[in-house]
Amino acid sequence: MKWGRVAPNTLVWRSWDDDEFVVYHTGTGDTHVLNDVAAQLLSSLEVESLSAAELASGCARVYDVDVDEALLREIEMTLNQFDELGLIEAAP
Amino acid sequence: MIISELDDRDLIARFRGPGLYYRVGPFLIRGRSAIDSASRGLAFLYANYPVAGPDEITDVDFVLSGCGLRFTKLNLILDGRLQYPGVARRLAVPFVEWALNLSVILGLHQFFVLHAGVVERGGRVAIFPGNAGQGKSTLTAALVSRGWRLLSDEAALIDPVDGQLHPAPRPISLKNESVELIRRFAPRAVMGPSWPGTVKGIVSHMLPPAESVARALECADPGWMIFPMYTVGATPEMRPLSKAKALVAAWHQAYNYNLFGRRGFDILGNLIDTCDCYEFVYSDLEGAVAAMDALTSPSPCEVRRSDAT
Repeated sequence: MKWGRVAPNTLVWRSWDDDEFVVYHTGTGDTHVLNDVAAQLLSSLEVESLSAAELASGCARVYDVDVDEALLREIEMTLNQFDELGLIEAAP
Repeated sequence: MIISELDDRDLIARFRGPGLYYRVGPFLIRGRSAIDSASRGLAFLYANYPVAGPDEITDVDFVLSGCGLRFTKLNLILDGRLQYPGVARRLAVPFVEWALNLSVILGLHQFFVLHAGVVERGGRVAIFPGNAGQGKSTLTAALVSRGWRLLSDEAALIDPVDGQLHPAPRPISLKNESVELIRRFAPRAVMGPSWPGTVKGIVSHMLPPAESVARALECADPGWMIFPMYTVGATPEMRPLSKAKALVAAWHQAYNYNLFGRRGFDILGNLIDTCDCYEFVYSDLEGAVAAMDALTSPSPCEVRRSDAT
């Protein structure tokens, strides 16, 4: 299963450092604070639709860690949260 | 002319007739009242405010009229709508104040509005966003009694174009324990009567210093975004807060974010750009004022630098 952005130009980003990011959802009017990993995942999905496994591989490269069950589970949980917040949706 | 310069007959004639027009910062208020005790109570709270003429556009319009058996109750009409029907007549003044809050906060969208206390010193504004009960009005009142300028105890009015804060200094609404706390902390502050039995308990108003009222058209730049957390027995502590967390916390206190949309997010982001952000835990007011004063004092390094030049 792949996940992707909800619609073009739906999210507006703002950050003051590399650790925390704020994303504003123009559709819901909500704002969210994301840590750097969550921001990396969400911004990747703005570019292209990806599966949890593909995101885990990307994450592993960026942070120089191995892809394992724990990482995959973390990413799936984060994706579910993004989905509940309307930040992403299942890609066709 | 200010309201205290009107004689009693003139004051009552205006309230009973075409209305008393008075200015609070950028807003022109028209008040009409058939209840003379309420008219005099409002005139006490707004004694230092400039009287305006009827030929300008009114921003807020309220009417108090008697109702009920032997007129023991009143109706409060705000901007043409029956806002508070059947209110106990003795509570007219606090209800007018709540009505003005509503009108300023919910109705005037030339500003991006945060629910916040707002004070200024040295040209920089401290904004205290927060829910009811977090101590923002108490902290605001304490600071104002020690020389900070009051912009508002209720609403940060952010100019969408230049990001400056517009003052709308009205009487500071204190509730329950805060009333006695401020009476003890600032015995020279002018307080209105206490109103027991409101839905929020005892309410009393601290009048803004005349200087804050006189400077009510003087905007100022943002300096600090501080989230007060009144905590019984706590030592005052100013905890740095990331700008990202400050933005999201302030967003929750924005009244008209849904109307401003993306532009509101940009306005608030630009505001946060210019602010140092903190969570401020406090209990005793002396310590709280000292901690706030310390923000405005130059650091030892800066003092040394200026000494050297």
